[in-house]
Amino acid sequence: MEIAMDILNTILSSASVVFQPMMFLYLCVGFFIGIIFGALPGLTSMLAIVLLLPMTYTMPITVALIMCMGVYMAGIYSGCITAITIKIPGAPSSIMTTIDGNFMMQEGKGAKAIGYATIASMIGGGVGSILLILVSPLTMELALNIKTPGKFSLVLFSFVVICMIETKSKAKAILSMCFGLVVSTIGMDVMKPIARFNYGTANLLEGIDITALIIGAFALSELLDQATINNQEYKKMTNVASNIKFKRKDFFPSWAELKEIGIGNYVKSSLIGYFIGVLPGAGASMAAFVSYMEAKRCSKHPEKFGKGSPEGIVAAETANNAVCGGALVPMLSLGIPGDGTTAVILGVLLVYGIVPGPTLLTEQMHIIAPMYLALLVAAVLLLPLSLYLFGPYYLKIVRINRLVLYGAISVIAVLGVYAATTSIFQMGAALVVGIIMYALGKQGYPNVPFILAVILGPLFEEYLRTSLTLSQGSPMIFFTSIDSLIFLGITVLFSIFFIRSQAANKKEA
Amino acid sequence: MRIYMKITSPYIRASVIAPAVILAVLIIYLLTALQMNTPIRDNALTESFFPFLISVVGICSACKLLLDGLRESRREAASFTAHPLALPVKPFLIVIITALFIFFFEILGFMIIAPIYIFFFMLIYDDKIQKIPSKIAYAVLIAAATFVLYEVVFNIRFPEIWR
Repeated sequence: MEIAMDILNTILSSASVVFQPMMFLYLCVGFFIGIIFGALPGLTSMLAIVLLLPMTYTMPITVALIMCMGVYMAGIYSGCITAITIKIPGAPSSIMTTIDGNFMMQEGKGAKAIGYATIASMIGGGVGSILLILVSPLTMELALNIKTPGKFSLVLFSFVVICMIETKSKAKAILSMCFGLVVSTIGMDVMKPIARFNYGTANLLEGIDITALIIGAFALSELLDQATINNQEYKKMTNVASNIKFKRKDFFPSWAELKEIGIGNYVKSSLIGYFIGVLPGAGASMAAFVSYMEAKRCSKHPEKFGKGSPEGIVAAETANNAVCGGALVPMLSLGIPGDGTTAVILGVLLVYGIVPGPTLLTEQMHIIAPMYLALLVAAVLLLPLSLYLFGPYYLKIVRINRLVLYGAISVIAVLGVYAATTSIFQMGAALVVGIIMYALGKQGYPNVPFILAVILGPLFEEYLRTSLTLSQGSPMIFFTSIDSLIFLGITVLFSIFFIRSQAANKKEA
Repeated sequence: MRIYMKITSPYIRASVIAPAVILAVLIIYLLTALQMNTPIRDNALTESFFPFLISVVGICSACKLLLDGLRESRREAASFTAHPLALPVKPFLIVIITALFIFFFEILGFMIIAPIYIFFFMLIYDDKIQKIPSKIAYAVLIAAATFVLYEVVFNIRFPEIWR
């Protein structure tokens, strides 16, 4: 408990860092990058962080992380802008907001719908961040007691969950994960000075750089995917948005309207979002969906859902922003990312040589502490502030010339690999990964298991081999170590839960 | 912009080809792993153990997907007629110009190759060849902004023909 209190103190005392003018400016820059990337259909906060990744090399790590928090919170939120106004979610997490938000838009209440979404995102993001600040010191302290077999079982748990969560095809999620693990084994062996799978090429001795993999899998594959979109059709859709005009006062619902939604809806949705965020690979889209369905189930007016119900907007938006805090808990305390974006943030940490997990709190807590508060500030302060200051101009974002935007993204992405590695070979590797992930994505292979496997693969192998070396090859070590046994038990329970709930869903359908 | 390919067999479909290719890659990966060492030697795990494990899991999943694809093909075989399949050309062209950009980046340097790459990128991304002067202007502007961002702000040196 003493360690947890120390961590909490370190986090709270980092307020002096976050509110330094330059740091706050970086947070705002990150926030507005997030707003732009989140609002534009096809671009996500994850892509924004991917593009920022090579640039962060020359920044102090604290600045880089503060910027990432701004991008993360704003990127998840701003997907609602186009979801409500033109029925195209800017981010996948805003799909549920489209249902009621666009209905309100059609009734001439678009500004109010954005207002509901902003207040909900602020509350969800705020609650998620506060829970992160309160809970992660405890999980970090607990994580200190996890031994190597337990760490193996924990990573195994995250791999199992990420494949179980995939509803379309678990086999595809497993293959995507295997591809990530295959890539992670290229280069030097994790325990012996032996080169693996380099096929005689010196360039592959160090493996494929994490920046090249992230940029290839998330930026280049996305560019290839977006190339198939018809510009004329895109322009037609966005022209609708550019003709809409909002006034500041229209954004804010009255107290009575907010009261009608009920504080319970906000609290429940925040908790749903937070806990789904904690699960590896679940992400904001799932949180929004579960929260929306739960709000509908408990509502006094379920018939209004799908017909412009503010409750629906609030449930989805509160939950998807609460995910931000939840997803950072396992990433920071256990080194296991909760979603794709936190996987990329984990990449930022790894680039700086920081390995998240229990040792983080004892050795480098002062470096990462400001990011906790930055996330809270981004939610509670910047979200309402940006709505008030820039809300009427939000829709201008979608008028950005698509060709110019993607032209800039492509060159920044490819050069980002060079900036990180100064290697033409790694640039080529990023392109190859991009092509493969594009082709796999077209066939419904998810990319989040891939990136999680790339990041966690070397640790997974190290924990497995170390444990089995300690037990002289006996796998019983995973069942005799208490922490390992607990994680294996949780893995089995989750598997049963997911299989049963998915079977029930199938039956219902 | 699309190219058309005639599909003459019900088995030529993505749900069969994708797992088949993955399966082939995983088998090569497994064979390479086994060539390195046996997975367990003298009661200790070797460097090929983990790749061996991944291959086994991956091959099982790939086989499952391949069988699903084959089953689906067989179901539709009776009603199958040869038909053209439209393939988008733009992603292919983007890959080509990006590969060329990477290849010539060190030879020609950022200042020459970056504006050319951005110009062709926008040209391909657009629906038709149009507004060439504005694309050239945008390409130069984007390249200049990228140069400032990386070289001036972040102090990263790109290769140049005069360096």
